[in-house]
Amino acid sequence: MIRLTRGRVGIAAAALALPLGLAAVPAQAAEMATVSVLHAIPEGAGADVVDVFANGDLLIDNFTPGTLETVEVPAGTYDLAVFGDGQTPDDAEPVLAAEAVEVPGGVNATVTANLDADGAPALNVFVNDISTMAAGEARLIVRHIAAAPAVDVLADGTVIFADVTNPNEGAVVVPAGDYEASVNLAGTDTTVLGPAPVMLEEGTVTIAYAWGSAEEENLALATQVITDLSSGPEGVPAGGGSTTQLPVWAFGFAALGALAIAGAGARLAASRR
Amino acid sequence: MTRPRPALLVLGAGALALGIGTVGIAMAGSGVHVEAVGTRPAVATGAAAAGVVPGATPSDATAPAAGQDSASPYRTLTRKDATTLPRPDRTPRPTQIRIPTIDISIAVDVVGLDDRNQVEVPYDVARAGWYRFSAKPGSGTGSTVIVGHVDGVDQGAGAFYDLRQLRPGDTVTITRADDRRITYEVVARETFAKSDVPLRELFSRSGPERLTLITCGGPFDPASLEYTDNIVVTALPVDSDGNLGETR
Repeated sequence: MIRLTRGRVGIAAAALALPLGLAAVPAQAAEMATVSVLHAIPEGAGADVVDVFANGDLLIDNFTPGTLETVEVPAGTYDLAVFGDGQTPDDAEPVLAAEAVEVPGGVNATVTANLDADGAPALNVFVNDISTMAAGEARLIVRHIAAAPAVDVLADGTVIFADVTNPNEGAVVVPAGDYEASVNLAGTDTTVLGPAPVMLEEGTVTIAYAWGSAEEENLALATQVITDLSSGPEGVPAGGGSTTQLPVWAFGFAALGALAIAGAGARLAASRR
Repeated sequence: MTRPRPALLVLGAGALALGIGTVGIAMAGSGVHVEAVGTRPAVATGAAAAGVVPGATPSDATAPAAGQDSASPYRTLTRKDATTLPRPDRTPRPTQIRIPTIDISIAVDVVGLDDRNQVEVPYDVARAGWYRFSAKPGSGTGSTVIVGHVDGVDQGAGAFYDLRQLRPGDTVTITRADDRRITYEVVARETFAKSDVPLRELFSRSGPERLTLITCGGPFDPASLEYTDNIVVTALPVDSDGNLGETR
């Protein structure tokens, strides 16, 4: 259960559905999890320098807007709490809190401290899809954590995620490469972010966060990149056979091998282009 | 260079002889080298490396946050400014490879994947190919993969025919499109049965900056029209003082 304390706590739908159901968790990582925390509450909103605690222990110290910290934690259930700089669970009430957040072994998740659609501070938990991709591919995830209305996300001028609202996300696997990314107000041609050139590197997950506040005119993009998830190419066929040296005893099979000539010859001819 | 071209009759005979040889290699066990000289630096892939975020300094990854004592159950991996976007990489691509000990000095094309998701090796066996999803030389991290034919179907010996003769200590020089030259020193030459090639490690853009040269080797299987093995040469960059690149 996630409980509201002082700020409003929202949980992305995927976060609740995925942690317990994740099937592809590597066995050797079963007891640890990777958690990133993104400070996405803009400056001047009362959280300019904060400390993040997990189960009463300091997790992140002196955390500032626009910063992403990645920590390795034992699998378990966590009460997360964000305190003003220098305050502790012993002497203060948290600015934001989320209780009983399940963190299964092997999971990769991101917790965002951000504004909800109406501009109030919120915590959101997202599970990051770190499944491997085929060679040549990249995964793009876009998350709306801004005090802003619904948006469309465009790549090279084409809408790839339509009508995304806070605190929701879209994910897609695309050919790795360079794209022009932009964010429009949903259903309009009004661009609120970008266009900006972005590289989606092969085998990486690029998570783009739209954060800030439309009203305060400080909407911005933040990114998190998780690397090394390409399964690699299927092989390297780098020979045609024209220099093959055969062992002398192979000639003993010459008569029998004659049967194979027709087949091999036909394939050779077929492979010549 | 002239190499023998066996008559079709001999090729046919080989179909049977080499079929037997292939069984022998398979029995040697998966993941085991057919042959190896030298040592390739280890590279973590997948979940172990998945938490690593580029752009963070090594000290970020090891030092606990201020106030996070040694008894803390949490370990900080990275801390970074998330407001910079991953911009297109303008590092120049490799254009030429030179390996003096085996008399190679050839052009390097850009290659991708074929329709079977295998690396596309340049059809012209006199040219090598830089796999465009691998690291660029001089980028500081990961594997730069350059492939070349050992031979062609009907073109005789290929650019990488003599890769099998490279030894640790041999020098490889890559020239980039900006004319910068980067010199590497061979640290390993390995032969893998094709079913055992650690492709994910060899192609990983994580780990130490390194050059990975790949061609075919072992017996030719006329049934599949492919060689049974891959020969892989790993080289590390050498600085101006002749010191080998860091092998984390």
